[in-house]
Amino acid sequence: MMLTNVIQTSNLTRQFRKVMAVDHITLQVPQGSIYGFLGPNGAGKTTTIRLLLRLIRPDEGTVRIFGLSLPQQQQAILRKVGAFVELPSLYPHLTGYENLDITRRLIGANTQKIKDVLKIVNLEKDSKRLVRGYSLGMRQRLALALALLGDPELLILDEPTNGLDPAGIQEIRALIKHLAQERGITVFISSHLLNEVEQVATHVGIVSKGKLIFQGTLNQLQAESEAYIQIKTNQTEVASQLLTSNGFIVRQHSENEIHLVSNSQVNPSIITKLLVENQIEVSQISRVNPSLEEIFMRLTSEKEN
Amino acid sequence: MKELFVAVQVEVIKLRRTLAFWMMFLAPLGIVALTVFFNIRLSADVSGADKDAWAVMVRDTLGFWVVLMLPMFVALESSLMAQLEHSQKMWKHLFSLPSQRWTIYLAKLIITMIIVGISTAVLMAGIVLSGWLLQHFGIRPDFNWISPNPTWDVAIRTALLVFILSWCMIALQTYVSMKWSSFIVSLGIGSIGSMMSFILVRSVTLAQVIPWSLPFNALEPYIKQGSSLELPLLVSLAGTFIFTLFGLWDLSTKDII
Repeated sequence: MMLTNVIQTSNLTRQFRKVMAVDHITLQVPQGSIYGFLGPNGAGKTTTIRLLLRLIRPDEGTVRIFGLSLPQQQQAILRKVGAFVELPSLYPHLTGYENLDITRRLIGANTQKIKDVLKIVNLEKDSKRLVRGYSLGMRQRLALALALLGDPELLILDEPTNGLDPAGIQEIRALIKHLAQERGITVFISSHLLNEVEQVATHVGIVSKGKLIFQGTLNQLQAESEAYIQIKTNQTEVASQLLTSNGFIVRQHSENEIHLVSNSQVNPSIITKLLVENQIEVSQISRVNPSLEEIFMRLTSEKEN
Repeated sequence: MKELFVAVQVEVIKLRRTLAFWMMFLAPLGIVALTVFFNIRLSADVSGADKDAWAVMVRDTLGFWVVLMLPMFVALESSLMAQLEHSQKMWKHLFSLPSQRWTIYLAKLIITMIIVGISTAVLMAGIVLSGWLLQHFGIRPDFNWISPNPTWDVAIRTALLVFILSWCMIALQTYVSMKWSSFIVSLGIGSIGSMMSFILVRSVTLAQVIPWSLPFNALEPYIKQGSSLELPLLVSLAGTFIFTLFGLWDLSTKDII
């Protein structure tokens, strides 16, 4: 099925004094996807989200959401978007219900919606308590409920699991999956943790130093990195020379580990035989498919270097 | 207009359990208590056949209110209203909703005006109630209450003018409170204004143009300085308009970092 892009930016750029926070980012977020927007802290994720919500103005570039242009059709766009940026924004002196009631009135939703979203985030029992007594997890869930009040078609969530314990993280993750699968909501979720995003996302965008360095599906990200042969030995210098002289390509070697470029002709058993025949002791040899974490680290560190 | 009405309703909800709400009653009642205490213990102005105890009570209470309390009260209320958004970084939530930024600004301004309006009404009610109680219990039999009630039309007109003449100060303090997230900036400007008001009420000319001194001009029926109300009213309304325009423009173009 051909997917249309819910979010489409073109060369989105924003500079703060001399720091290029967002540098010509062109995002394409397909409809119905869970798009993980990844990057180390300070990479430009939150600034990008602020640009998408028109909380700040770009120096350059365009934003189209649902095919509508920002800022010309901002109100029409925001009517279909639910968002929370960084830590949850809540009034601590009010109850959970009162916090929801404020947003409900501003967006013109009916009172039944409050009950609906409280049920979704499992906060029905605590809705009459003051928010200042809520745990961080409850605050995150209430913020998510606020984002859901307007029946959004697009959810923009900035680090929604920040500061949560493992149970809280799992709960939010399950909720996001549920919203995307059962309600068809497109979710744009930022995080600095790949392992968190890879469990929910269908698509990822990786940003580093304000630049988008990868965008695509998780499979495409996996394909970005080739598998390699990992050899563990105490004689890496001699082994590297031997392997190179026999036509193998050494990608890197350290004190006790060699990585060889892997292809269909490279067979670990042949390598083992070659090394052993030359009195080089091999403690381990295996073909390694790098994890997404490794790919992410490599991509972001390449950019940083 | 409907959007603005909703925004005002929302501000009323936000006032629940806040200091801003309780200050609306405590500040005027504190001034009433101060004036009653002052007049019972110290004032000779209320005694004597040629004195009107009601006029003195209204004059002193409103005098304390507009000079000592109102400038700081407006600074505090406008700061507390703005801090509701600044302290929890609520702007990013509010401005990612499909509502217009200007409605939120105007709602804050209107609510601060309503708070000052209610406080002025509480102050007047406090004056009347304390006058009735003083008469009933005869605490100072020498006080010359020339009638059981104050001269209603003069008292109500004066209170109404105090309220209208405070708008310029409210608009200015709202602008400052919304623009700078620091409580100190807003209260600092309020304190300076308060001192200016205290010093400048003696100058008929300057008291007619300085935002924090403008409400003092409403006391003319009681203090008879010979000042006109036309200029202070014009300054108050023009100032309200200008500061509100500044505030609306500033918030509408502000980057929410």
